[in-house]
Amino acid sequence: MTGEPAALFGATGPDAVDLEQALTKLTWSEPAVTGDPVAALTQLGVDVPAGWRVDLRIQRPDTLYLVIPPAFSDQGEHERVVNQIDLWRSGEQFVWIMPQEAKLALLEMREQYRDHRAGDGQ
Amino acid sequence: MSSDRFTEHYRLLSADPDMRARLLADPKAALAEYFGAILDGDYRIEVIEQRPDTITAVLPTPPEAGTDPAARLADVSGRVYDMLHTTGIGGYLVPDDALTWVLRDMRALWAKGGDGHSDSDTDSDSDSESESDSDEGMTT
Repeated sequence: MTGEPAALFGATGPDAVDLEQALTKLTWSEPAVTGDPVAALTQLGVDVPAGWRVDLRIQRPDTLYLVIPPAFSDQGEHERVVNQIDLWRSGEQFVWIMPQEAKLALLEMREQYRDHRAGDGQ
Repeated sequence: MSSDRFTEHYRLLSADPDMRARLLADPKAALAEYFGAILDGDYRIEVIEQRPDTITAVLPTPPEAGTDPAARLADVSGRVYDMLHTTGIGGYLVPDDALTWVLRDMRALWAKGGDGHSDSDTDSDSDSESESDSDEGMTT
């Protein structure tokens, strides 16, 4: 466990256990990576599945994050239900927000990270 | 089924591209315009748009200066929430306890129709207030 280059997080060991922890560690150390999410994920051995954009936000303690539903694509959608949620103390959590169609893309990214980490001899 | 003004606001944000664009451009001003007021104070509001092509990762708040970053990382790790939307989910992420009553007080202000504390010209938007008299189905 010695020789960890990222001294800031040295006590946690040489690698993160999952994609969420790895992304957290990376963005805390280098906040600028949020400007290029694809490159940030590439650093972790993860390719964003085709057809998806990724948005990375680091929560600030002085900010309320207002999550808004998708824009309707046609008139027929105007009666659609919008469910509502509040997440308190979200700053202590990692939150994914995505269409339900993206769940396999997220699974794929998590698997890619696990395989990348295994390939590094963890 | 009747709709409270909070639910109606989310519906309008989906249905009205101009209203959505104004909220994205200046969240506090747009909320003050719709609800008639905004709470004063030293806080920000940032909008996270649900989009059919986007996976958003909202990361935990970094450690404060002077605290142990490794301990903070260990503390937040594993606390993962997957929010999967279909027709849409509206609401707030409240990162810090200090903001809890900012949001609650603001909702109370809006539920009353938004008098006082306004930082914008809201008199011209009185029509929206007249629609706000019914049930209060929002989360609190």
